[in-house]
Amino acid sequence: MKTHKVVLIDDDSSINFLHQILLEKSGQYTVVETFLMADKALEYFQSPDRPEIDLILLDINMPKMNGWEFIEDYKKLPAELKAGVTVMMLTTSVNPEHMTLAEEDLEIKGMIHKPLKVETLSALLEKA
Amino acid sequence: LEKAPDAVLILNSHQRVILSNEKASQLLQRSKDEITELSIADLIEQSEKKESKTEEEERRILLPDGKLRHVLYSKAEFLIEEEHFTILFLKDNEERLTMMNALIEKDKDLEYQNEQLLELNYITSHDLQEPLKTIEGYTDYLIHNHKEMSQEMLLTFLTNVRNASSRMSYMIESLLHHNRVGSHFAKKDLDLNEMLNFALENLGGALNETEYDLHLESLPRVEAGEIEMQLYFQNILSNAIKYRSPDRKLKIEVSSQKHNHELWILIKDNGLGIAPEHQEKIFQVFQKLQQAPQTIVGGIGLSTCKKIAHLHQGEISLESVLGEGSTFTLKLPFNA
Repeated sequence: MKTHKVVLIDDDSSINFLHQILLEKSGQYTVVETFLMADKALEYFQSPDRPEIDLILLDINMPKMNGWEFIEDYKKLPAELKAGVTVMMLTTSVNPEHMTLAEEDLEIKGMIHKPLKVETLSALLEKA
Repeated sequence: LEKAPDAVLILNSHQRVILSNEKASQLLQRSKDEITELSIADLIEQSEKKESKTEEEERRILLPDGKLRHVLYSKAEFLIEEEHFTILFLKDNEERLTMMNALIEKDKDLEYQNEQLLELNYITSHDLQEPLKTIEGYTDYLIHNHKEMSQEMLLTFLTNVRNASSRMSYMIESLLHHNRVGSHFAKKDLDLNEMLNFALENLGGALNETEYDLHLESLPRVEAGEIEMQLYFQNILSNAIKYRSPDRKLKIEVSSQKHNHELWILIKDNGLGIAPEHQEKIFQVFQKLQQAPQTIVGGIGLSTCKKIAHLHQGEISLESVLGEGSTFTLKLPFNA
C-alpha cells in the first residue's frame, strides 16, 4: 500500500515528535521532514531537489510566520509545484471563526483539532 | 427675582448690574452690593465667540479667591422706556463637568477592562489549551501503547508531558502576577531615578553576564505608583537585555521629555528591533515572536507595562527599526 508522504510544521518540537510517531505507527504515513518554522518549510517546499510530498500538516499559532501567513504565501506558488499536495491545518482552539476561514479557503482541505488522531486525518483525506 | 430657579443678574445699558438675586450671591460668592459695584467683566469671563441669542453656552465665572468656576450662561434683552436692559441667567456647571469627566474616565477604564477580558478569553481558549492538548496527545498514546514501548521512549514521553505541564503552570503563574499588578495602586511623589536604580539592581544577574553601555539622564520627580514604576523599568530593561543584538555591544539610553501636560520617559536600545507587523502584537499576552526553546513561552512583561501605563492614565508607545533597535516611551500625565 502506498503511504502518504508528510511534512509537519509546528513550532513545538514535542508536538512534531508525537505526530511523527503516531503517523508512522499507523503504517499509512511517512514523515518526510519536520519544521519548527513555517518560513523554512516554505523554502524547502520550493527547493528543486525536494522529495515528493502528499500532505502538509500545518499549525496555526507560530512565531514569525503563522499558519495563515504560510497559506497566503503558499497560494502564490505555481500550481505544478502544489499538484497532488493536500494542506491540513492543526488547531488547539475552538475558534469558530478559524473553522469558517479554513472552510472558505480552497488551499486548506481540512481543519483538525489537536491532539491529532490518525483515524480523523485518514477520514478527512478520503473526503478531500 | 428670588423665586427664579437660577442665579439672575440684570444689567443696565452701561453693563452694570443693577439687580441680582440670592442665588447669584451664592454662586458668585459675593454680596449683592459687591456685585453691583463690580463690572460684568470682573464677574464673568468674557467670551471671544459671538454670543448666541437663544442657546445656553459654557462660560466661567471669576470668584473672589481668583478661582474659576464653570457655569451655563444664557441671556435675554429687553427695552423699558427706550433703555436697554440685559438679563443674565447663570447655572452652576462645575459638578456636571466633573461628573462628565469622571464618566469619560470610567468609560475608558471599562473599554480597557473589556479588552483585558477578551484577551483572557483568548488565552484560556488558545494559549493554555496548547500545552494541555500536548499532554492529552502524549498520555493517550501512553495509555494505548505503553506495553510495547522501550524504557527510553517512555522516559522521552514522560519528559515531554512534564515540560508541557511546567509550561502551563508558568503561564498561569505569570497571568496571576499580571492580574495582581495595580491591585494596591496608589500614586505618590517619586524620584524616578531611584525607581530606575532599583530595577537595575534587580536585574543584576542578567546584566552582569552582559557587556553594556548605560546612559542615564537624570529623571524628574513625578506622581506615580512606586512598585509599578519599578516593575515598568525592570520589564523594559529586561527585554532590552534579552533581545540584544549579538553583533554589537548593548547600549541603553534612558531620558525624559516634557510635552504640555505629559512627561515622557524614553528607553532606547540598540537591540534586535521589532518589525512593523509585530509592533502591536508584542503588547499582547504570551505572543511569541521568536523561536523559543521548548519550555519557554512568549512573555507577559510588555502587557504588564501597558497595564501600568493605563493605571497612570498614560500610554506606552514604541518606535522600532528591525535590526537597529527600539525606543519604548511611557507617557505619564504631569502637572508642572
